[in-house]
Amino acid sequence: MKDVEKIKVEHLYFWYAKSENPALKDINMSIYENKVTALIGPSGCGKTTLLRCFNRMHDLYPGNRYEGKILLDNENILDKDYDLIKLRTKVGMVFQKPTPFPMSIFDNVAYGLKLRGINDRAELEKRVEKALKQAALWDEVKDRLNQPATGLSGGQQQRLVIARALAVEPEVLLFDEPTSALDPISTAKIEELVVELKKNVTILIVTHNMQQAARVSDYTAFMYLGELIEFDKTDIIFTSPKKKLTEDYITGKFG
Amino acid sequence: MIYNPSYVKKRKIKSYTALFLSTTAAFLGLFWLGFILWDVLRHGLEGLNLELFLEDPAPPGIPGGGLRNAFVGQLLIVFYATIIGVPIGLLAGIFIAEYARGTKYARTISILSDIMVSVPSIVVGTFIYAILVKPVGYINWGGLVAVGFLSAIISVIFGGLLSFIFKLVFPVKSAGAGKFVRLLVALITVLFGVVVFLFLSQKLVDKIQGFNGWAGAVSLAFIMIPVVLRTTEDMLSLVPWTLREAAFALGASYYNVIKDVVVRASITGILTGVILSIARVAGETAPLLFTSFNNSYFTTNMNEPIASLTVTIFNYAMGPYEDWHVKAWAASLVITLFILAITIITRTIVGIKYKK
Repeated sequence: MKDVEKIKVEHLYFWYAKSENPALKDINMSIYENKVTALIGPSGCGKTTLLRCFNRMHDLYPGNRYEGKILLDNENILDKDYDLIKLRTKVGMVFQKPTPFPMSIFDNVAYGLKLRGINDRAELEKRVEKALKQAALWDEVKDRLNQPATGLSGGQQQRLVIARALAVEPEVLLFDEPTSALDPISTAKIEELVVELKKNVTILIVTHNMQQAARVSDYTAFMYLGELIEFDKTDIIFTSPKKKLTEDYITGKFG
Repeated sequence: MIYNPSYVKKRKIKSYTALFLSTTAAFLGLFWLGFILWDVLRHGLEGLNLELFLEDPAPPGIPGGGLRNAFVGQLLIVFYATIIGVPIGLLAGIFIAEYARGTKYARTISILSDIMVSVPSIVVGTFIYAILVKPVGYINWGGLVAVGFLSAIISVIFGGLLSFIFKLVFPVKSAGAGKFVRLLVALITVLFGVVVFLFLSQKLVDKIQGFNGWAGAVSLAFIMIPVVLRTTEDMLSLVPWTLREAAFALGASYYNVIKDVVVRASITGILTGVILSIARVAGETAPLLFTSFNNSYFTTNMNEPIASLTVTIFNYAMGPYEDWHVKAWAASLVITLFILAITIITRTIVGIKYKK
């Protein structure tokens, strides 16, 4: 069965405010539906910058500039008229450090739903439970939903944040180095979760850890100095890369 | 091994000298604080009795009487100062820390309010004198502003209750009906606020007749605004930026991000700033000297000169009667304990909050 394209990036350039040189140069790639795509590369190569283009996080800072197209379901999300709230409903994001809001566990997960006008208590409870189960956190927190989320451990907080993103039923989920602040056991749980979640959502994950990319992803993009060097199925990238640069990075010769 | 005993000895001597000097300096500071507190306590306890709070001053030279007028006047002035100063300070702090973050407006306002914090309070008093006391017979702007903020706060509380009751009585399912109910509540709240304002301003605000309580409240508010503004700004800036990004990534508007995430995360710090600003102005004398002036009679009318504890202490301490001196000490003790209590309570709350 052929993989279905969910997002198509065409000739994407990106400039940070007050910078002459583009941080991303002529990126072309496809993100396939219900697959995990990993972005790897040395520090400063632009993988996080690229990830943040997919939910237009860069728009928070005046002066940042895009060129080219990112087609999500054949609509250009870089279009000025594209509704950011709609985009961020379709495309959720999980950050490097856990970002629980200063409220209870329940309210954290319900926050995105409330923003979308769902105020019915029974409906909220149903969806919060579902999201927490999807994020494999339900059993650990079901008895203390009204306690502050900041009391959870780092790994639990990160799964809570994933549940919060899942609650609004996104189609795409962006992970920005989600395990870099976690211990190995929590990392393993998050990785299992990522593999599990791809049944329902399309996943993009930025990682510093090449073993992680190899373990969880179906496709891998290798980036270097703002350019996409190579993009292919993960087993091809890791076993028989076409470019010398990719091979050097994967075998640990630099980076 | 490179070890030079005489050099190590020299270093140790230096270290002990520095420790000794800084410890001495710290104790010297604490000593005077303790001395002041002890002195106020020793003299103040002598005049401290229930009459002090329940009776108005007796004519000079006649024993007995209390300072009820000053306690009530002080509370009224500080209450209205809080009503005016805190909302302005809070909103301005939110503006420069969030909406105008990093712009030159924000930096300018920050610097200006730093300057305002250090303006001598008597200058604020003179300024308010010139605009709210001297133009006799003019519209009482100070009173109108204070009553305006008061009615705004009352109607916000009313609106909150109203929407809560609406939710209980008519649980709404569809989004359209929800919007209609919200609009209705907002409309009723605004109308209610206007009515409250008209009623209160009729009751409370008259034309200026020279020295008046409103002017005192406004000058204290002037001192509060920069304090609240700067603490709010600092507290909001401490909230990690990623927390805001996380809320934006869920599709929140900036207003939602501020209301639900940023302010919530820094509420303890903001409230501490508010309470400390109240403590700061509660002890001010200079801004009240030629604004609310003083009054030896009991009044709650803010359009007249009104007594305050600090100005009364000043007058009584300067006065020729032994009885007055005793009362001034007692009043000093009360106001010192009040400010001490506020400060200790807020510090404790903050301490508990940040302990873990």
